Amino acid sequence: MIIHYSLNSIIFKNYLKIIFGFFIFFFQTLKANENIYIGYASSLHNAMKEIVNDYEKQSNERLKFGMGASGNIAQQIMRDAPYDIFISANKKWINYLDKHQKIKERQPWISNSLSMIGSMKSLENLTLNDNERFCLADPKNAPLGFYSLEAINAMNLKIVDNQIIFLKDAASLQYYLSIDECDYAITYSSNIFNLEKNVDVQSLPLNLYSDITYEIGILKLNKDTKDFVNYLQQPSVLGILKNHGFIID
Amino acid sequence: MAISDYEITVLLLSLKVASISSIIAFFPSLLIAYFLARKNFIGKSFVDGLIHLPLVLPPVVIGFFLLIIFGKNGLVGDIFFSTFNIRISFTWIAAVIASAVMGFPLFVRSIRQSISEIDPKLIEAAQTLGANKLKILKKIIIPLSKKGIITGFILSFSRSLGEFGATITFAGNIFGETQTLPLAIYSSLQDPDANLIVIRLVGISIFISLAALMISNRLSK
Repeated sequence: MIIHYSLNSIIFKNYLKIIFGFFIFFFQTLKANENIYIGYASSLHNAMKEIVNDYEKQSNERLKFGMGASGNIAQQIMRDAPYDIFISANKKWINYLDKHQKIKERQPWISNSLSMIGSMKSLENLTLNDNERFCLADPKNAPLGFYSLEAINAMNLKIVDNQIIFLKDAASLQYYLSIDECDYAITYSSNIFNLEKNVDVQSLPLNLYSDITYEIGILKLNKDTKDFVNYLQQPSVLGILKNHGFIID
Repeated sequence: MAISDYEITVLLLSLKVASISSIIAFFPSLLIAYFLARKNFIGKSFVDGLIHLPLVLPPVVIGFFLLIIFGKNGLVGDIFFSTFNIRISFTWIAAVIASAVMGFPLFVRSIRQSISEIDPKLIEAAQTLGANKLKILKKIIIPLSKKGIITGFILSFSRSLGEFGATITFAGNIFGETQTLPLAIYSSLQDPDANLIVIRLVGISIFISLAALMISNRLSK
């Protein structure tokens, strides 16, 4: 009882100090974050986790990352999100930021290809049953959706609007694929590498859609960001990406 | 500044989802509110906690659970799919279910409050005069808890109009099918050329919510 009482009174008498202490702690954590902040296309997520992990082991840097549809991250950057490096799954969003003077330096990176998922005999005459769904990434923001629509148009596939489910980016498309919510889908071939389920996959001919090139944009030029971008171009890192199904030129 | 077709579609869908989900949530809410207000049973606090979960859990978690239960391979979803060939996830029905679940605790809370304020002697008197349970419900409990029921309706309706996390996870963001006001605002926020649309949708959203609150104040007086 006595201990209980004294503890209470210590807290009660010193509550201002305790609150003050919390504030100091809070601001300390804010100040200490001078790391590299990377925003990248969600299709890179599985590979990036590995790459970032390796990089943190061999350098003293701590990396923070945000992922999403490339267009989505570009929008965040336009609204002053504090990313230092941005990796987009197309040139469009790097160009967009470049036009608004947000990009200090840019370089092309790896490539990817598209695959179609679903039980189809041939790509030419695909017909969906009434309650079947075709999942695509949202073409507005996700480059994957844009490439997918190109391929759909090139193949002349007729899909009724209300059978299409647009998901916000490649990663969320992959999640819904993994829980079997999509009967058909077009996704990056690299995503299928990470899919644990057995699915019917057919890779789409490269002439059906434009080149899928990932591009790196540096938003804040300093030694840390340059080091990391150089690291991204090293053979060991490219090897990891190759293992994840990306195409290394 | 006429309202566009796009805005009409979004608005009507939002109202449809909000009203149907409130109506669906009403009957189980009434039943559970009655039990919580009038009866004592083992595990009451557990049931109470369970019902309030949608109020405190992140909405995405609710969406995830719904997806697990009603998805194509889910417990309920599988039955619906294999027997009726119906899919629930990613349809407007999914949006209704998500909204109903999110609004449910608010509904239960306000009805329960009203029911517990009813003088138990009234119910006892009705029982001694030979009224059965249904009659007591119809003639005493519902009329005397009218205020709570109306407040519950408005609260769950407004909650549904604002529902985002559970809906986008379980029902997706499909224009004309599951894209309600908050989802439309979210989508337009991602689009660099849609600033005006955002402002208009936000305006509509504020207008409807304010109207709902004013109507509820009026009705509960």
